[in-house]
Amino acid sequence: MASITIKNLYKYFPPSFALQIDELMIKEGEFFGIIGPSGCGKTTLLRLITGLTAPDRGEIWLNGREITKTPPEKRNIGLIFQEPRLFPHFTVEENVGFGLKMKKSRRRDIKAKIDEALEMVGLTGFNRRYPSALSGGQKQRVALARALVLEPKALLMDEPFSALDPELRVEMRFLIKKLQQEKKITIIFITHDREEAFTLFERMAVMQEGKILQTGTPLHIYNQPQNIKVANFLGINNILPGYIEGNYFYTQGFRILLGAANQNQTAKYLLLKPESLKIVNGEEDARPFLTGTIEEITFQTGFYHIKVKVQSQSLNIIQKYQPGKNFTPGAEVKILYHPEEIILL
Amino acid sequence: MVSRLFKLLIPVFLTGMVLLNIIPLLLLIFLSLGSSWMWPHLFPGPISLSSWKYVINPAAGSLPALKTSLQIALTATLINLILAMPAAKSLAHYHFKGRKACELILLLPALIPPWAVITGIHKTFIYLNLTDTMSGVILAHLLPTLPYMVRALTISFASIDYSLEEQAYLLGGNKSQTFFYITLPQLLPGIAAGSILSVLISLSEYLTTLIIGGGQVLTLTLVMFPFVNGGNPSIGAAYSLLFALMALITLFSLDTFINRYYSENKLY
Amino acid sequence: MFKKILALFLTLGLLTAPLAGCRQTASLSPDKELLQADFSQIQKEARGQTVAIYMWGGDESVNRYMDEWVAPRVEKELGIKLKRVPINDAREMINKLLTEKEAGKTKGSIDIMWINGENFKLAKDNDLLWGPFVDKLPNYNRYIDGEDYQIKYDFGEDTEGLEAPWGKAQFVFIYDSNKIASPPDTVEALKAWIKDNPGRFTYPAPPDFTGSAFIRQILAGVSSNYDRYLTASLDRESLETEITPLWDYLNQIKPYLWQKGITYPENIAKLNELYAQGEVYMTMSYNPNYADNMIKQGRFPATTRTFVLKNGSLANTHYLAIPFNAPHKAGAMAVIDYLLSFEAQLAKFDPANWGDGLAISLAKLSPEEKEKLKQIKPGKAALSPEELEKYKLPELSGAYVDIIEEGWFNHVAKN
Repeated sequence: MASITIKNLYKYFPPSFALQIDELMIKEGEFFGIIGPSGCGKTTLLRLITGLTAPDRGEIWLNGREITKTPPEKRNIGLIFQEPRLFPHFTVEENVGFGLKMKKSRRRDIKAKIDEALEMVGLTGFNRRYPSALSGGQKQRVALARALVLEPKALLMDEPFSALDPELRVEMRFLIKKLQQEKKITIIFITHDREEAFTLFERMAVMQEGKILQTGTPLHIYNQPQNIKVANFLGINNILPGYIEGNYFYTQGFRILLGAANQNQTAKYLLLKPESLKIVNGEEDARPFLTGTIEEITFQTGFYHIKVKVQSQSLNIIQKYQPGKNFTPGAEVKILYHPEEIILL
Repeated sequence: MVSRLFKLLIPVFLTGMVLLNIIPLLLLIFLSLGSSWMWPHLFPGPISLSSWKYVINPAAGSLPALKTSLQIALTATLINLILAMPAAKSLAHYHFKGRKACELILLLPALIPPWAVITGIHKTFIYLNLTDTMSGVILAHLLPTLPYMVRALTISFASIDYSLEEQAYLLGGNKSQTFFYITLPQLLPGIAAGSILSVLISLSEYLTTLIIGGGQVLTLTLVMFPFVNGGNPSIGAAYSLLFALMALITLFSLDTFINRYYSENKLY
Repeated sequence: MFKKILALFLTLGLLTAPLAGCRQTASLSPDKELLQADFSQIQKEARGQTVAIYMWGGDESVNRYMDEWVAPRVEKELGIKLKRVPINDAREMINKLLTEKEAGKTKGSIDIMWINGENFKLAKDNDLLWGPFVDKLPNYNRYIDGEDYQIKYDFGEDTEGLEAPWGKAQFVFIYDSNKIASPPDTVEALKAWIKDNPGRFTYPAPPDFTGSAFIRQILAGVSSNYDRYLTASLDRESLETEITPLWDYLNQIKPYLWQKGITYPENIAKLNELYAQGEVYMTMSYNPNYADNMIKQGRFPATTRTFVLKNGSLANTHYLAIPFNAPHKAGAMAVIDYLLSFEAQLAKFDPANWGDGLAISLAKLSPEEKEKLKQIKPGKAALSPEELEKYKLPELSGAYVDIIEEGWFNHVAKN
């Protein structure tokens, strides 16, 4: 049985945005991601699940109970925002203990639980500090501890690390992954960062314009995107329109050889993953190839991102950096591809 | 160079400000002691305690007047708080038609000189049977004070971080818990500012107290005014100092009260 | 949201409600029976009442006389609680009564008010006074000479029994005998003295009460036919022209005044400060015992003395009246009657208490009472009652007071 189930959820925002989710199931203890461009309704979805926003219609179920009309304070679903939202007039321990105090827990228990939660996020001994005396990463850890201390039925995170420095971001991802695995917490995590999605999520949903386009494991979605929007968002940015005739897919100005499984099918688009293409200068190779001219080269942490013009179209290619192998703009090159790694839509 | 000069000037300015505040106070003290200190004399004249003896003499009624003053000021301020809260919240957060006009109307009583409207107010209060009573005076004091309270609270409400309220709900806080632990502490500076203004204005209110109270409600300001206004400057000065002391103690207690509330509202 | 906006509008309503106000009229009950009743009956009704007397509250001696001498005795002898309400300006009471009258408030809060001059005229013209009641008071009938011009007419206005005389004030000059051996005794001599002692004299600018009185005092000295001004018969323009000698006099002394007459003290308190500091050698007062009081308080030099001008010294009477809507009219009559008793007048006359002039007529006193009066010696800085009486002049018509004040501004201050 799924931990969180959403059925026919609908929320309209005048003048022209609507969120519509026909069905979404998140399993207990799952690290579930929601990925999509900004403005696609990810945050709205989280607010609907926590109850901060009321839906126009539809149902939200939590562990087999409908909670659509339950007020947020009675749902016990944690929500971590991009900014830590610590209470400035309370100390770290008062912030962390706030939820327990509201539930009127016993004082001794509160103290123990606060310390435990602070230890979990690596802030032991920070009890008496005020938020103003903390760094950005520390604040977000306090926010995390404050949510975890309540042992929430689910923890929702709305781009929680996007305001942090890159190294800190990696560290925090590691921390949350570790905590999730240790505590088996159900997490719904929002990001627009593909890298974050692939590192963290067990399953994820791709959202766009208020709708879920595809659900599945990150790898599955990457290998079999259901449509070009999903593919494009996941970084498969060589999308060639055309048609299949026999063993080949014909697009403007050139043709691509298909693997045996794909021959004689119908498709409107052919997708080439940028890292599946290989640029060769003169070396011989048995694989099929295209020829083109290098237009643009950028170098990013061990990889070249290269734009090659093939006939009237541009292909994006990612090449691993190898010493001694250089690319020059304007050079004529061969592009090798694997017929088996082609995606047809 | 410029900044060094500036640094040198700061203590000069500060000293000037302090002197500006202290000199009139000293003059007032000397005056209340029956002495005067006028240019070009270097030292103040001989002193006597007769003015103070008159002021503290029970027949002069200073103590009941002081009590009445405080009663009116504090009650009016409390009512102001209750009235201004929803008004200020609406003004700060809802952008409805005519909001600007509402804001202006709410400020109007502070802008219009009291003598311009006091006759109208007096008549209305006569019809409502509120003249010559303490409650009438309290109600009348709302007019000049409420605008300041609304203003102070509006600014406070406008600067409130509502995401913190949401956060409190998410952590299981209900509406009243959230208000007392999260919203109110953020409003306190505004409440303090509004209350202080309201108390001070009410304490120094003369015309409305006189007309609406009809002399039956005697505040310290009423008792003091004939002396200050040319009657007997020495007794006037003694009353002024008594008034200042009362205002100071009130403000200090108010501040302590608010601060204590703030610190007692700590979670543990 | 709508609830909050509703709350906002309620607040708005509360704030604006007092500005509206609707008219209604109520008939006034004239308390005719009370004016017909026997005085013992009135005193009986007064017993147990709390009577509020509204009076200027800026003088320690006056307040003390009321609080410490009158109030306990009234309570003991008449069973009436006397409540003194200090006010800043008698005009405030008149305005209060005017609004109350317009609003039809038949039960007010003022039982007795202390007034005279223009405020009396205003009250009388607007029917704010209850009465006539004075001839109901035994002590009025026994001690007051109701036909005396200075009692019957209040700044030229016929009192018509609507106010009872309570005391008298007289305009005097105050000087330091250490600095002036023999003070001037006529307006001309005063002018000469001012010219001989430049910077040592000034007077408060009108509309200060005392400053305004000083100007009238000079008018009395320079005009040949002062009685002509006791009733208002001239219009503004002809009065201003006719009293040109007054403007000339004031302009002639102007260059020799303190600060060369460029500025004047804004009120009598300022002038008294200047005198106390020795900046100027003279000050003035409408209270003949003022110098004595100030010496006692240690605020004026012990060598301070008083003088009056032989051309005449202005005097006025101050009165007690009962408003149309006084809630305790019987109590008010009983208290006023008590204040006109020989004992109360004597105590008021005693400089140890207040030192105010007697409203009761010396001619009506019994030999024993005259003897008691003789026991009270004026302070060494004050003049004897006989000397004051010798040069006493009535105040001119109240209608002229404003005209002269404005005239001073145009003819003297602006020059």
